[in-house]
Amino acid sequence: MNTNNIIKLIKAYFYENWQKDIYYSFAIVATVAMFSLGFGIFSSRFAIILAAVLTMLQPIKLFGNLYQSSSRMHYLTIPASNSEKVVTNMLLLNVYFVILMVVALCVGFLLGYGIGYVRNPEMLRYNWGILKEMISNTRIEYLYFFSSLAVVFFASIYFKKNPFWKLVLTGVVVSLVLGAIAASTEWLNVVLTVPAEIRNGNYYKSIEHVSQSPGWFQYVACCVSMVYFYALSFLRMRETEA
Amino acid sequence: MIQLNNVEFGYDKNRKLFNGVTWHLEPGHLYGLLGCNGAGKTTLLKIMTGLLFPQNGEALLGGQPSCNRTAEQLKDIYFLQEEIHVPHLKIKQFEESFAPFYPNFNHEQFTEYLREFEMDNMLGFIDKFSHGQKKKVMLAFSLATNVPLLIMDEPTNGLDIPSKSTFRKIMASYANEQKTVIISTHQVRDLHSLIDAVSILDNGRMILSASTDVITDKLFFGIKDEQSPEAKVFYSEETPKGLNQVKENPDHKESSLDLEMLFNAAVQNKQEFTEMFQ
Repeated sequence: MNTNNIIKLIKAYFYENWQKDIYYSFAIVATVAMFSLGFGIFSSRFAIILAAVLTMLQPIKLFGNLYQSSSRMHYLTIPASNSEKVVTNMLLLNVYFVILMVVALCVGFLLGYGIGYVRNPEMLRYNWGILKEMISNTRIEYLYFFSSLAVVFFASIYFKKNPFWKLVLTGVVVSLVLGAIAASTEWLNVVLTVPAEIRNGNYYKSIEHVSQSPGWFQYVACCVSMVYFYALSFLRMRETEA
Repeated sequence: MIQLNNVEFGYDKNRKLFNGVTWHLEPGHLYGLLGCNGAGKTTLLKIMTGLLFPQNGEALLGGQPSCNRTAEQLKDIYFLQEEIHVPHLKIKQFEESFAPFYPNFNHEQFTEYLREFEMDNMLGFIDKFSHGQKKKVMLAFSLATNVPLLIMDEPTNGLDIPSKSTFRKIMASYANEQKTVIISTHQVRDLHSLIDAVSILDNGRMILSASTDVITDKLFFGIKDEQSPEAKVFYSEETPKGLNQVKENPDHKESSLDLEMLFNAAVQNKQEFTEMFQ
């Protein structure tokens, strides 16, 4: 794998898409600012989810060249190997778009809280507290987010016709699967890590106990699924024909 | 450089488009690839560039299977498609974006070709240009890449008459010992006096692949009166000057190659042509 080719591919991406990405960032900033103006934790959380969903749709743009015959031929004959093309898009999705999302979220929250502060100075302390709590409590959610990115990354290479709707459908299915994994791992954690006397005695105590445990199964499941779907994406790219 | 060995391919499982196509290309030639509509010229070019994978046989590009599509293989070829895709970029941005992938890209040549196609003053986005204008930009870019293998699928489709002349003029001075060019086209008049090797694809087979010198050595092209009467006639066509014929050339007389006549003769005498030029 040649780093120079990856840099060239990234440059080529920016030449073509920097304007679109600015519009996309503004859309996130405006949405987050609007939602963070009121309704406490639910609206802030909703704004974050919305930004995450928008980020999950970015692979459609990254692999947009694969959806039409002429652009697919152009993309596949760019002098870079299949692995370089996949790695470039992985970097753009997991680093560039995530940074873009985080920056846009921060600006959006600042803007929203700023407006809120003008309206009611007490609101700022309240909102800031909510945000801090939300960020510190979601470590496993970050991992779910990155493994979901791996799934939509694969889906966007795999589906050639109506990729948008198929990606949305994939997102729904992935959410259900991840929800099932989360629930089952929580149950597994309870069984494996909570002593029987606590487990049988008090369910709430069990959950409290679990929340202090590392949740290793979820971490492993997320990491394995990430590796699996990126490997599948590479294989799919290698066998893509014009 | 490029070798196709017994390549079999079909879009439909029950109907093969190619039944063992073998084609070896030597560097330093300008090949004209001819074939009827649906003969599979574009498909063959896609297989050569690794955009389609042969179902049987092998397609080698630089000694490796073309379907590997390694960076090393791809930097040595440029495939100018018939249906051009251009990103939403201006000419200068397009050059800055894609020229770095081609180590022999020459900016001065690109500017010169654009000037010759009268596209040097175009400032807008390429995807907003007309089809012919897009084609001219991409032609200029593909020629400026100076890749060892340039593949052009119907390059003159959509070009106006002056641009076709410009294309012929540029191509006449383009090929050299390091560069190989394959031009696939229906418009054989655009290739006249340009190519030095002809390949004809018909019914899933390469029925002829030879240099123009070999062709004119084995075949005579001309009006009936000028030819030796005993030679076998492969094809004849009534023209205002008389009966134009393609016939055997046992005396090795000189004549100028008529691509249209050659194509018709080859299609009507597949077996004989395959054996003659094997």
